[in-house]
Amino acid sequence: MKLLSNFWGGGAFLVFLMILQDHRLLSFAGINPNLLLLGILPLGFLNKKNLWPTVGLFLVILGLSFFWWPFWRLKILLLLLLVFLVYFLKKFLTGHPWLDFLIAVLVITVLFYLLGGFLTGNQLSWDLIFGEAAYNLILAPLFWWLAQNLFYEKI
Amino acid sequence: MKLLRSFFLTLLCLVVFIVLVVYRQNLAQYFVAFKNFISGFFDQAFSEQAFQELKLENQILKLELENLKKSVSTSPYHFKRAEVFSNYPFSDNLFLVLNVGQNQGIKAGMPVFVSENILLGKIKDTKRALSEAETIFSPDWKESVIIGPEKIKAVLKGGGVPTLELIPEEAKIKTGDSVFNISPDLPYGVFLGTIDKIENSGEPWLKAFLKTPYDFHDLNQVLIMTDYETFK
Repeated sequence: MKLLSNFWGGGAFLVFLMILQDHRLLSFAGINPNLLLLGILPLGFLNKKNLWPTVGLFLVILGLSFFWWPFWRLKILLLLLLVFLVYFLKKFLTGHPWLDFLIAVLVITVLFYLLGGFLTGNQLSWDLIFGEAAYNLILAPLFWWLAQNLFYEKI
Repeated sequence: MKLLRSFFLTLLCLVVFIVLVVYRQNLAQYFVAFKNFISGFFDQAFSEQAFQELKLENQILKLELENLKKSVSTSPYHFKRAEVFSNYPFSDNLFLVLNVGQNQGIKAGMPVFVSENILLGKIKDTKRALSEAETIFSPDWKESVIIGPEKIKAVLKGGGVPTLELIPEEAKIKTGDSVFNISPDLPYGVFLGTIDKIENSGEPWLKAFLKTPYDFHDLNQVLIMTDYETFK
C-alpha cells in the first residue's frame, strides 16, 4: 500500500512540475528550468531493488506528455531515455549520490539540447543552454531533498 | 490501523493526481495570476506617479483606438479564435500548442495573430485537434520587415527578445518606430511591434530590439488567419 501511495504521490508531484514547466512559472530572463528532469532524475539514484515503480512513473509521465506536448514527443522521449541511462551508468560516476546527481543534472541538460538539436535540426543557443544548466543546478538541492524526504524514498 | 492510514494516503495521492491532470488549465491560470501578483510589486507602475501616468496614457490610447477603428476598414480576412493549449516546455524555443487542428481546417503556414492587427507567428504543424504555432520569439524565425515611416528594410530574427538586423547604418530610425512585415508568406504590412533599443557596434549595419505590445507568457488566446492562401 505504501508503495502505491508513494507512486501516486510521486506522480502528482511530477504532474505539478509539468504544469509549472508548461506555463514557465519559474522562468527567469527567458530561461525555463527543466523541472521534469529535476523531478525524475532522483529516481535513477534512489531506486536500488525495484525497477518497476520507476518504469511505471516514467510511463505515466510519457503518456501525459504525449498528450500535453504532442509536437515534442521525440524530445520528451530523449529526456526520459537520458534519465533512464543514469540508472545503469551511475556506477561509473564518483559513488557519492549527491555529487553524482549534480553531475548528471549538468551533463543531461547539455546532452539533451545537443542531441535534441541534432534530431530536430533546431539552432542551439549556448547562452540559454548553459543558463538553464546553471538554473537547474541551483534548484537541484531542493529537488534532491524533496525526492529523498517526501516522495521516492520508499519506491 | 496502519493499513487504513496507508489506504487513505494512497487515495488522497490518487485524487490529487487526478485533480492536477483534469484541472491543469484552471490551476495554471491561478498560478499565473499569483505570479503576476507577486511580480506586480516589483513593477515600476506600482508607484502612484507611474500609475497616474499610465492611466492618462491609457485614456489617450483608447481615444486614438476609437478614431482608428472609425477610419480603418475591417480586415478582408477571416480569423479563427484558438486557445493556447500548452507551451513549449524547454528553454531553447518558444512554440505554442493551440486547441484547433486539421478538424477545424487549420493548415501549416497559416498566419497567427495576437489580435487582428498584431502578427505573432504562423502554424508550423497540425494534428487532428491541435496545432503547433511557431512565433517571432523562436530562434529559427526570420522574416523581412520595414521600419517606421521611412520604410527602412531589415531582417527580423526571432529569439527571447526578437532583433532587427541588417539595418543600414545611415537609416533614420528611432526608438518607438513601428515595425511591419513584408515577408510574402505572411500578410503584407501587418504590425509586429516597435523599436525598443538601437545598437551601433561599429559595423556597417545597425541592430535594434523589438518591443511587442503584449507579454508572450500572458497569451491565452490567439487568432489564426484561415484564408490567407486564397488572397495570396
